[in-house]
Amino acid sequence: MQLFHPTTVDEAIGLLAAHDEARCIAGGQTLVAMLNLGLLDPPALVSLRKVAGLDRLIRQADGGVAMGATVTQAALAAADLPGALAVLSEAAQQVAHPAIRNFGTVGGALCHADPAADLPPAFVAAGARLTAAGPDGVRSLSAGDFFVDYLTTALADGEILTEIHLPPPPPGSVGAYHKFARVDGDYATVSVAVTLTLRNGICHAARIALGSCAAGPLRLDAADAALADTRLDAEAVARAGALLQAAAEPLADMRGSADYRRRIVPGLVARAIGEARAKSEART
Amino acid sequence: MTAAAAVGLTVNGESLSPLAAPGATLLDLLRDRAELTGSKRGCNTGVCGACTVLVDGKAARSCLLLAADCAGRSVVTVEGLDDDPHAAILREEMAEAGAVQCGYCTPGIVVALTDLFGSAAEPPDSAAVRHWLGGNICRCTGYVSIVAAAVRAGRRSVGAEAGERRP
Repeated sequence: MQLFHPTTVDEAIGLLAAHDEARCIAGGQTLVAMLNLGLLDPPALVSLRKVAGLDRLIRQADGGVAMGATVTQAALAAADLPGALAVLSEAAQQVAHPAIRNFGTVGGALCHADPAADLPPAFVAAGARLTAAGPDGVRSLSAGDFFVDYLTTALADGEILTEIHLPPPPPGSVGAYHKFARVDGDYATVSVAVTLTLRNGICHAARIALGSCAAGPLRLDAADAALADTRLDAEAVARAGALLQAAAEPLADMRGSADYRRRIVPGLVARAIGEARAKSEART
Repeated sequence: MTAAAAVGLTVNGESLSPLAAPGATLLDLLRDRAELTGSKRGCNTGVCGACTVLVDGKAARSCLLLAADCAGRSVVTVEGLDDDPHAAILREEMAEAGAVQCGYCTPGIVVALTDLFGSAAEPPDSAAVRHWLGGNICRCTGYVSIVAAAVRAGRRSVGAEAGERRP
């Protein structure tokens, strides 16, 4: 196995094209574990660690945020992001343990596309746009379109996730990430990422994405619509929870049976909405 | 298989250029090449924390970093904490509390807590210690004595008023 250290995105794309079955490595916090277990034996690894600029998190003048793919989970956890974007920091704070977050990257967690991971649902709920660069140029896709299946993204062969862009959060927006896990630092049994836009007690827009409930983050237009133009009364919250519960197709594993996971969805959705709403009330 | 190559890095303040095979991890390099066996191989998948070291001042799983990706980095292992004031107090308190049984997890816990004490503004309470040590698994002690020792060590070594009491 060869390890390359390109310093530009173009050089990294060239290396991926030149070596069949080559993989990108960023923080390596999942990939090296897979190498150690013998689950993966790529002929070449292209490290993104020295690619200039990919480790920057930039607050834009319009309130939006742009972050490079190699921003660490620790940096995102410590970032004080405005409004709804707080969902991203809250999710990052709950990824595994401090030593993992110090090296694990945002882009790595998104590209690994583990359905039980914390960052994918948070980036879907935040309405992130992802930039992919490859031999045919640069394209932008929504976080919702990025997650295709278990451990599978929309990235084509030879493409690299380079940047994530978060639109400016609307006035009155809040976000929360509620994770239910058996022990501290574990993958979620079920997690709920939520962003709400609240003004004068009325919810104008909502976006909910669940983790560990489907092949990727589970988002449902009908569930979001059930909350829009309501006061987030118990009936509306229960309706959104029931719609998500009906759509959930979780796996069964040591963290919970599929039936158990479905059963806890409405309660966790209600808790996440309650936490986001409490931030709005604390602000006024 | 590509041949092993020299990796230039600093370990416990010393510049080294050990050979590392392409798939070798930092833990392999420390234990097999630098002969620093304080960092333990537990799960080798980043779950147990026994291999925790400081890389550029931050806690890291040495089993999850490729050795070749550590070129130019500064690594501190438990052996390098002999003169660290936080670690010195922590060792005393852990010995006093009997916070060691088989001892396999101990180096990783000492390194992880040294990072916590070095970055904390206030002495961490038991909840903060437990949260921080969530990634360090101990199969012997039940954690009670470890957490008690860490809280006492934190009170002695973290924060402004603890400064003058440091050795």
